[in-house]
Amino acid sequence: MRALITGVAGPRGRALAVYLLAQGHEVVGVDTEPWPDAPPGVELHALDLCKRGFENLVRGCGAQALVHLAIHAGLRLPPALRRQLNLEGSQRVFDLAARHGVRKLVVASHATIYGALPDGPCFVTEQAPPAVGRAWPEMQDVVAADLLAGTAMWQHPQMEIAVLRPVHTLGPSSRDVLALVLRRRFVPAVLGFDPMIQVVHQDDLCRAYALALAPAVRGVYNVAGPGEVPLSILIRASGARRIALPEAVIQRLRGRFGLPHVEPGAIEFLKHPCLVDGSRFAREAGYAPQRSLVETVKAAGAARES
Amino acid sequence: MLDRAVQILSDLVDPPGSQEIEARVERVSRDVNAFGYDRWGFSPEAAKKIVRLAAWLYRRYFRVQAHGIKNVPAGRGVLVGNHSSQLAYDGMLVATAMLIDADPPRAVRAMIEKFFQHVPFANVLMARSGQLTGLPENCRRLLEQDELIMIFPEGARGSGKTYWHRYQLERFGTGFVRLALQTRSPIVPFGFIGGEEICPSFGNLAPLARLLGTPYAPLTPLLLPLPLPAKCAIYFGEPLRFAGTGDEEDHEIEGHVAEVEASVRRLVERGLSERKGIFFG
Repeated sequence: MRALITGVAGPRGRALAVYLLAQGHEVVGVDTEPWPDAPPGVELHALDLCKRGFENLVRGCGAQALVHLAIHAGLRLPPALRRQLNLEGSQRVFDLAARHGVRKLVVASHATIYGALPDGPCFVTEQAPPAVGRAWPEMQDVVAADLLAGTAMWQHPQMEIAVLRPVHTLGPSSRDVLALVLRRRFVPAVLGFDPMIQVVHQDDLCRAYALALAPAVRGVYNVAGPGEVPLSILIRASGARRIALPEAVIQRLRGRFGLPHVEPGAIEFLKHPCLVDGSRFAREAGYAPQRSLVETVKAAGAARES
Repeated sequence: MLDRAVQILSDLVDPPGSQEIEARVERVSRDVNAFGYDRWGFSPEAAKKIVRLAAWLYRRYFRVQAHGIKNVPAGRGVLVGNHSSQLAYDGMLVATAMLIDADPPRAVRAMIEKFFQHVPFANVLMARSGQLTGLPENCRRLLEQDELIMIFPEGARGSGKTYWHRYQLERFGTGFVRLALQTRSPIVPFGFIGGEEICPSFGNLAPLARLLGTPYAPLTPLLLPLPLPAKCAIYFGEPLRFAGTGDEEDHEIEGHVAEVEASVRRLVERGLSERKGIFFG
C-alpha cells in the first residue's frame, strides 16, 4: 500500500512512517517542518496543505491511503494559523483525497473534543456531542475538523474514512498538550480537584493509526489507553512539582511565573474528567494497547530523562 | 489535604472492628489498577479511611438500625428511598449499612447531585469513595456491570425540604424506572428514618443559595448543615421487578413509579410507627 501522511515530521507522523515502512508499505510524507534524518524509504515533500503544490502531489503520487495527522489540538501554534490549518487545511485534504482516488482516509482527531464537563457522563461513546467549546471556545476549530471528516463520510461514500479520537498521548517524543504540560518543572493543579485522566502510550497510538488503515475500519472511533489515573499520579510520575492553587489564582497567574499560558477553558481539564469508552475501536479494529498502564504513566517522565 | 483531615478524624474515632471494616472495603473493591484506583476514581485506600469514619458515625453517633437488609438481592440493583437531611447524610448511612451490616458486603454507588462536582475537595472525596454524578449514562454502565446503585428520585426537592414537611414524599422523578427496565435491574425500596431530624431546616435562604450556586441554602439549628445525633433506622423492602423495555409511554412508567413510591411510603410509615424517640430509644 502507498500511504500519504500529512504532518509527517511531527512525532506521530515520524513514528507512523517508520512503522508503515517496516510493514512493507510505501510512505509519502508531507510537512512544512523539516525531518532531517528521515529514513531513505520516506518520500518527503515540504509543502503547505493549503497551497497548489499539495494538490499536485495528491494528484500525482498515487496514494491509496491518506493519514491526516496535521490537525492541531495543542497550544503550540498561534490561534489564527491553527484555525486555518484545521479548517481549510482539513477540508482540502478530504476533498483532494476523494478526487484523486484515495480509498482510505484516516483522520487524527482528539478525545478532548468531548470537553471536561462537570455534569458530563463518564466514558462517553462516539455518539456524545463534542462539547469542549462550552467552556473552551478556542477549541472549536478542532471540533470542526473532526466533524468535517464526518461530513466527508457521506459526501464521498467511495472513500473509507476512519476518524480516531485518541486520549492524551504520553511518551518521550509526544507533543500532546498533556505531555507538554507534564514536561514542565512545575505543573499547576486546581486545589481540591484531581480528575481521572486516560492516557495512551505513543507506540500504542502509532499502532492504532496503522490498524485504522485496515479495510472495513470505518466510522468514528475513540482510542483509549490501558487505563485511567488521577492527574496527581501523572504529575508525580513525570517528576514535576505539583503546585495546587485555587482556581481563581490559577486564572490570574496564567502565563506568568513560569506557568504555561493557557486559555481559561483549558483549566476545566484540570478539574473534571474527560473519559471515553474505547470499546468500539477495540471490537471493530482489534485494537488493544500493548503498553501497560504502569509503562504508559511512566512515559510521562520519559522526555525529561532523555 | 482533605485526605489528611479524613485520616486524622478516622484515627481519632477509630471505631471497634476497624480491621474488619477495612477487609470489607477490600472485598468489594473491583478492577483496581496498579496505582490503586478503579476506572471511575474509586480508591480502596481512601475509601477505608472514609468508611472507618462513616462506620463510627453509623454505629456510635447515629446508632443506625438496619431492618430487612437481606432483601437486597445479589447482583445489579437500584436502591430507591426517601431523601432528607439537607446534605446526603442519609445516602452515606445507607451505603455504610450495605458495607458493614450486609453479608456479603456490598459497595453502593450513590448517584449524587451534579452540584458536588463544582465543590473543591468534596468532588474528590466522592470519587474516591465510589460516588458518581447521577446521570443516566453512568447508571446504565454501572448496572450493566452488576453494581448496586442508589437513587433518591426526589432529588434536591426531597433533601432540601423544610422540617414542616418532614417524612412527606416529594414528587418522584421517573428516570430510575426506565433505567431499571432497560437494564433488567430490581428496584429495592427503602425508608430512611431520622434524616429529617439530623439536619432540620427551618427555611430555605433562596438568595444565599443563588449567591453560592447551590440547589438550596437551609437555615439549620447549627447554622452550618452539621448533623445532630438523631437515632436513625433504615427499612429495606422487598425488591420490585417490572417487565418492559424502558421505552414505554409515560403513563405506564408512572404506574411503576407510583408503586415504588407507595412501597417507600409504607416503609417510612412503618419506621415512624416503630420509632420510640428522636434522639434515644
